[in-house]
Amino acid sequence: MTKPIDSNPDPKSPVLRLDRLEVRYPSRTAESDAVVVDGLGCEIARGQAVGVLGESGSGKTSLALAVTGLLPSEARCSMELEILGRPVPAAADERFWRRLRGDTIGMVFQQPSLALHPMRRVGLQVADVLLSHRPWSARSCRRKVMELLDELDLESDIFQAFPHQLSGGQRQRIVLAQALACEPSLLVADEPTTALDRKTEIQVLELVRRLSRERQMALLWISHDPGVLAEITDRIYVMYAGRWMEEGPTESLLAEPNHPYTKLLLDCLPRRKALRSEPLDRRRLTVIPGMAPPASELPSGCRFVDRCPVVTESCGEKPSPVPMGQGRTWCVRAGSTRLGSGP
Amino acid sequence: MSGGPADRAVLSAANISMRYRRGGKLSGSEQIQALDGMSLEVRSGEILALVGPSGSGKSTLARCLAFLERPDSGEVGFQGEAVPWEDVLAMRGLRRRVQLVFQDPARAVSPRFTTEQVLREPQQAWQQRASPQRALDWAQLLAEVELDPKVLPMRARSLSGGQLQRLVLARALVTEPDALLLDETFSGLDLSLQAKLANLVLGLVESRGLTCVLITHNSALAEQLADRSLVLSQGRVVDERSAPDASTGGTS
Repeated sequence: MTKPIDSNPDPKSPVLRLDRLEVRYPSRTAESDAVVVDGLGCEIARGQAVGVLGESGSGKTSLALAVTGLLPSEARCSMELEILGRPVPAAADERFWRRLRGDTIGMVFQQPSLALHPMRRVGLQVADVLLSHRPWSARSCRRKVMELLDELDLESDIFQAFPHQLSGGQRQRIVLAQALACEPSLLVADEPTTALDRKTEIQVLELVRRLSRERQMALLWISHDPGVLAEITDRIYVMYAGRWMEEGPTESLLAEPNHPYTKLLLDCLPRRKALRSEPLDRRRLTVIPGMAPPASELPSGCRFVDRCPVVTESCGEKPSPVPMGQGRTWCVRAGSTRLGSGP
Repeated sequence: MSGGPADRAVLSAANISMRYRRGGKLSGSEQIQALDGMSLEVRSGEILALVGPSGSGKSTLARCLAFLERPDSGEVGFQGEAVPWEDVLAMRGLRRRVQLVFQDPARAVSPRFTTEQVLREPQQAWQQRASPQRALDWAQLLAEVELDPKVLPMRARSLSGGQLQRLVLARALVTEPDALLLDETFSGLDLSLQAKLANLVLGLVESRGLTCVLITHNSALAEQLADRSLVLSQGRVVDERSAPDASTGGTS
């Protein structure tokens, strides 16, 4: 079986290079299309883990679907995408994507219970991935599945189990085994640990981190939880209403955010400790006032303008990236004033 | 809020145990001890957090405290009296006074019900037995959970996650409960929505004088919101942490 993109090309080219990604959905009610993703670009090197931090409705799932060719048919998508240095043609059809997905690009999505067939033994479901991408015999596929189960700290008798017999953490590991079966160069993960409790979550994250180091596998990890991204990524892109707000190395971005949105979002984390018999008012968490703009009525300039505490007149223009430290911030005020001190 | 003499138990559990049987090829026919001789008291007006990993018995405990499940042994008490499990009518009256809210609101309402139908259901169930009949002030109820009255005729499936979560909170308030049990209500939400809903619950606890049991695996959130945290593991309370008193220790 021929592969559309060779898995061993020039080792210096990034695993993923994305530019000018735009995803829009035609709207039945509003006149203009809903623009869900608007001109995003990013690059992921071999073995690098990149995180996308965004709230629901920010378009982060559309981003994951676009780079895996899984957008629904009504979505209109344009992008310049290179995987391992080879461009993905704009007219890439389902056959093209099918050979890429599961082989060069592995995917894990949010609900492991929905990703697995309820009536098929999970070992076979992992073997299915290998059977459709490798010219191997059933026996060698089975051997490879056993290796994978072992690598993911699963007992070998789980091969015969049905999904309902497994715990959430075990199911997510099976989905992970499917994604990793063909040793992909890139793993795209869309909130795969949201349904797990904290302890299982950390176990899965540590496992993925270890495997990505061992195999030099690139990660695109999408989440709304900064704690998860701190655990697993090297670099974070912050997304709001379809655009990047800020990107930079994980540690410095979470410790000293430059964009007002990132700052406010991180302020929503519970940090304070309650005191007995104090007024309940004092236990309130910080919130970001207002709501994200609907995708059909986006402001022309900065997308965060309506909720931003330090807004100025120039915020009506589309912000261009300002280099800040080892990252970039899409804010006209970045670097000029200390944020949070008010106008 | 002042503690003082109002420190009586609204809900209590005395040495309750609960066991489930699970059959399966992998697990064999195994018994799971969900609750193993657990005792606790929920004091009037307090926010009590139950923290623990999955499988520690948090949700089973919540179901017992909401009188939905009768433990195998031990006693569940409401306002100092043991719950009369055999008396079906009395139990119905009791169940309205403790309301449970789950994690996934999309699975807690019928997607085809309109918001109004969702809220009517508990009202009708309650008012069949209540006398005199009481009219429900929809506008006020929706305002309390910060929902737009425009959602009343909308079907549940067309609401956003945040709106649904507010709707199930409103539904829990319809029967005017004394205590609210929140089972992972804030888990898996965006940070900003989690903060908004947590503030909303704080407001409700204050304005309605509710007692609140917060079940969560997010210990930072528990510390920020609760007066007291119980750490559960394998069906037992293994640790209790009280927030320091505002008058004696700690500054914000």
